[in-house]
Amino acid sequence: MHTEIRTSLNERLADTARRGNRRDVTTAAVLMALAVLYPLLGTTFQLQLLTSGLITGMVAMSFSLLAGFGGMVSLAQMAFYGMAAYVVGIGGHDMGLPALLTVPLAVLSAAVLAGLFGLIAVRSSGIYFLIMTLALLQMFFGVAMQWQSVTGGYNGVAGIQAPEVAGFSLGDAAPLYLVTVIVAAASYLGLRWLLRTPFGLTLQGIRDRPERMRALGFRVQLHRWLLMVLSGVIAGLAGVLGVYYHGVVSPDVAGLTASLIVVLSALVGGVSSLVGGLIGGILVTVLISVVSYLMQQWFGTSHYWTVVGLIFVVVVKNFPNGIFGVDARTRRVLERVLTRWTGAGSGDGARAPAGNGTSPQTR
Amino acid sequence: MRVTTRVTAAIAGCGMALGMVSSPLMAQDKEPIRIGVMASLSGAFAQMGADGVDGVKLAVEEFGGEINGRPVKLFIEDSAMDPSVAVEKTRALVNRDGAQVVLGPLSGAAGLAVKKGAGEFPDATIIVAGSAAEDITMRGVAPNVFRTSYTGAQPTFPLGDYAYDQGYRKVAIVAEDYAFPYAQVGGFMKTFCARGGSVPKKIWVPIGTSDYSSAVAQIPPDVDALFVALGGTDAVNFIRQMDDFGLLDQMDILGGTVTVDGTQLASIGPLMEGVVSGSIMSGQLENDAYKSLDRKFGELRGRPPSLFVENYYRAAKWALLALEDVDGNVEDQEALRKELLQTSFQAPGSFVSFDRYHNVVPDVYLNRVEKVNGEWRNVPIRTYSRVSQFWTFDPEQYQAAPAYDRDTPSCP
Repeated sequence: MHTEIRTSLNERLADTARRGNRRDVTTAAVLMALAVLYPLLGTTFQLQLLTSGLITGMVAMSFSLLAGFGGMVSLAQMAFYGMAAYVVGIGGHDMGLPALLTVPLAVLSAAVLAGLFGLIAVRSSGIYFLIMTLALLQMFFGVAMQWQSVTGGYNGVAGIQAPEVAGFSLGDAAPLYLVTVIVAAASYLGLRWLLRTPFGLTLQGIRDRPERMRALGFRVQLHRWLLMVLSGVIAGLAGVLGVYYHGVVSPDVAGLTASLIVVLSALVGGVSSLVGGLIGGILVTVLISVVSYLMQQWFGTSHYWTVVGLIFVVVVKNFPNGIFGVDARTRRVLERVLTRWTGAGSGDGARAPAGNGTSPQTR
Repeated sequence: MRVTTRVTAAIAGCGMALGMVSSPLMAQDKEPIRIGVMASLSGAFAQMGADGVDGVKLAVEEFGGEINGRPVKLFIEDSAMDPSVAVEKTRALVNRDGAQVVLGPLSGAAGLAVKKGAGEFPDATIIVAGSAAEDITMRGVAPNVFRTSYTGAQPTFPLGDYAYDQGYRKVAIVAEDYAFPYAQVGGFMKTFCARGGSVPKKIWVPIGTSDYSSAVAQIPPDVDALFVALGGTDAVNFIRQMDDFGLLDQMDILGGTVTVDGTQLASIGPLMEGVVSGSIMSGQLENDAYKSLDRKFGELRGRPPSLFVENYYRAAKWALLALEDVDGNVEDQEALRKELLQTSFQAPGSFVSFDRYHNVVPDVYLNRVEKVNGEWRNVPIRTYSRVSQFWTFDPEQYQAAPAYDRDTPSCP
């Protein structure tokens, strides 16, 4: 009797996992198809807004990577973004180097900067880590502002031309959008894969019980440092896309507003999920744009930050783990809905009682 | 279940939001003329930006809200002093709202970014209404970018000239550390040093500094005067602290274009008595355009119009006059730009026209702070008419020189 139940339970769990994977692949394929086909329907501005959202989302994803999987809340992500952007700007625009050279160099520089910051920051944790990264962000801002002969100071580098890819200029909205979608998706898939490897599982172990992991012989600092470098690479990729998108880079990229928008995006999307960062970036970017537009059109006022702030309060209050976070309630409901949808095709398998598969799996 | 509803609502809301972004063209008898306005409406420069928007609205009102039967529709966005944001907002105004004329932005770096990216907007004319970065109308002219306000150096060329006339030979400088003050200082030094004056010390402070004790301590005691190119509350704080240190009475003060505006005079008028500054505006102008703007803005906000009200009013009026001349045919951008370049009129500040680099040629006033009828005001003591962005220098040589920054020019 017991064994019977256990086998059937095991089968059902395996079945759920298979379905889960199938579901993920289907969702991903549908989303990608929609995203890639969107330029056929959307206006130039919508594409530009989505591009901007995805770029912010990538930085938010790099934030979530550190915060959600390494327990390190970093405000310095925009410094890595800015580093890559400046390298593209200075190398491509001021020195006339080809994009084939500046882009890898930019991502590398972002990684190196993240490595340097990491050397200093990974020794601290919690609030001290946060303050440390804030200080490092301010240092980057200061250097960008003060080292005028190289960075252009307050004005930064303007008029940066985007390169051509397969005959399409990235200065146009649709090609840049498509490239951004591809880079964002590839980064997401890469990170997702990495987090399921032993390395990724070790990271999560370190996040939850650093002392125990140390006792088990894992090199905690090294893992943290590597994660920091990895987040620098992702933020650097975003920086390359961002500088081609804006055509300008100035110290403001490492300003507090820009950094807080990243943190808000990650929070709205859910810090403990990678895709949450991407979706959060899009949501926040669209939200800010729409609220600022509507406040002008309806009320003739520019106090859109107040409204945006109120919306964030509501979101954070109702979705403490973000819209896509592993919130028990959300998860339960989503699972029930999704099981019903995907289960409908596979006949009686759909009778699995909903609501009990919510034991904490990844936290 | 409640949560599902919320999630669905969130997703639907997002979809709706995207839908709303592409607001459909309003069906009206006549297609409106769409004018985008970009100003810094949040942060430290929010008040100046709001003043600018008021200025635009007053100009549109003056034309009855329409040109040749076509209603003028305004779209307003916040460029937030950030060049990246300014580029995004220009895209929003042009690509989303269909703006054919964009007025703004206000800050220097933002204006520069928009100018350098202006090739992206072949079907829109951008009229820079506040940004004073020289290279917007220099070292390369964009066919669809005009500037109606002034370059940073334009109003301070005469100030350097005046300072030398006053017998000053050594002047120290306190200025904010960004492009606009660089140009203001540059203009001043260009004329002052050309005549033989020297600037032994330049003290650059970050925007929004509240404690100036270290800056004050660096002022050499042997200078004849101090040129203060600070704006907004920075100027107020600095002057107050100069007074606290007892240095204010020992030194003559020269002011930049935004150092001595109505707002500063309202709070520290008595401390600023006698300060001479260079501007394209003044508190006491006799022309009808100024009086009319003064009256209308006074009715609206109960105070005299600031420099930013005038700048944006002027930009809007300039655009509307040119639009009137092309019978409201804003779609023919070529014709509009050609007409714009030829239009000249009496703006509240002074009579204005364009040079061939798309930059305004205004009068520059040197104003001294005096008490008029119990109120502290900027009273013009000298007028330099028709000041070019190159002063009296040769345009080619001027543009060949490096752009102003912390160390350029230099004459210690």
